[in-house]
Amino acid sequence: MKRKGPRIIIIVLVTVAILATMILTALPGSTRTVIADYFGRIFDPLTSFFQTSVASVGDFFTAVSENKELKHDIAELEKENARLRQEVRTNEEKVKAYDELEEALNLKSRFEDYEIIGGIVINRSIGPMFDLFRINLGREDGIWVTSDRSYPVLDSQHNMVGRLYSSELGSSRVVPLLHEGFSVSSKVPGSAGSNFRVRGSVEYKDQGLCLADQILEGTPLRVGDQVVSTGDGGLYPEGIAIGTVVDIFTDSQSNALQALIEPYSKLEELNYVFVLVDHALSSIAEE
Amino acid sequence: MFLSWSIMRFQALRKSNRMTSISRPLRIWRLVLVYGVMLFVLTSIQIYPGLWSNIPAPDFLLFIPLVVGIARGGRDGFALGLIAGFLRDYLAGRLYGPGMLEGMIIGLIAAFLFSDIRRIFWRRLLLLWLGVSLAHEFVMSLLSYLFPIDRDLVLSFRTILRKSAADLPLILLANLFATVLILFFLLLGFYQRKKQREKSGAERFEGYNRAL
Repeated sequence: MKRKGPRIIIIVLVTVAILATMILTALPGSTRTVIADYFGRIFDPLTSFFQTSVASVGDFFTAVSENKELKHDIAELEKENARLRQEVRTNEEKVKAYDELEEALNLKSRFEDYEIIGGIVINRSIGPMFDLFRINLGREDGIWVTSDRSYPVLDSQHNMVGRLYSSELGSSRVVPLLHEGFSVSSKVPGSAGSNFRVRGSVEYKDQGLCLADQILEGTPLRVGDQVVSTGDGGLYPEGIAIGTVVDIFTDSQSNALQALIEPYSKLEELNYVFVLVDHALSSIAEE
Repeated sequence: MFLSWSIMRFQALRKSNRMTSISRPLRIWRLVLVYGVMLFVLTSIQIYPGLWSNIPAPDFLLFIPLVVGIARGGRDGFALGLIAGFLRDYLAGRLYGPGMLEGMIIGLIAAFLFSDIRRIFWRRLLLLWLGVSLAHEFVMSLLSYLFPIDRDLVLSFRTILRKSAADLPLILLANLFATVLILFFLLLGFYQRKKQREKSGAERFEGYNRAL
């Protein structure tokens, strides 16, 4: 019995089709494809189901092995709970006073103009060219990424994670802040007019660090400083925590001041993310 | 009498040197089932968030077409290369196509080197494991350089390649693990009981008709 390989004409046709797809999806503004929309409807729920199943099995074994420990913890927590209830009663009056003060001073919450949509990380990045990760929020959730519109992605502590790269029907791809394609205008909180750029760097990606450059002379930047977004550029709102300065040095080639930033967000451990949707921006775009 | 015994003995030895359980002809439903389950389970393990944070993940999507191609020949590696490549593009790619093209080429090369003789099979598998791992790192670095996310970004190919090569020993180990696991999956999926094996005799593909 002879084993038949694919005919050469089939190989040629498939290669031509792949090259055409590659060119079409490489063109600016054409990040979505119909095939991926439909494929995602089947594949994404399957992947999520697999992850939930694995987590459930893991949880079961953890629950059995840590049962004794849990009993002890519960007793401790009950004691703490009683103490905290007492504390809440005391603080209730203070909260009322704060609410009144906030209303009076018209204080704004950090992201009042934005809708925060929570999502789950479906998969991690795979390699150098396949370095985006996917979340389970897409156009069905009101996220429409175009060549000139993206959305910031944050973690549960509202720290910077990255930005959306493309959106399909039920999922989107995220460019993490360690990626060389990511950059954000940044500052040290409280320093007006001393903005600089924080970006991902091929050189420092493996160490889990970002690079800060375009730092003007006299910028009050010290090791240990917190770095936040400035709000310039319109994509990221002001005040999103990015990370801490771990090193400041002068680049040997350009002789310019640069800094290394350790992001607050632990990208490899991320399971849940939050996308900031600016409805004001959406309505302008629709007009 | 001695001659007939010798011939029988030689045939038995020859038969045991072949990997007939994996490479034998199989019904299409069995192939689809085994390949489907294998692709789904191994891909889910590879992309599971937080699972491979300290060590490189075994690249099952890269090695499934390779192992299937070299172990079964024919069209299987080609088809699985396209499917695994599409999954790679869909899950984490910047554009659609590079993963599919790479998967297809790996599947074709692996099928071209198909052999069910154990000794030759292992030699070629080891050669492909090393060659494909190195070529993949190089090609992906080149593509990241040629197709950056930000077109204004100035990148150095040398830096990308150096960074990519830094983890090479670990990547090679992880990929070796992937190869062994895929082979184990295939052995399990295409398992044939001894009685059936004896009954079917030497039913197997007689070489690779590439039709190229």
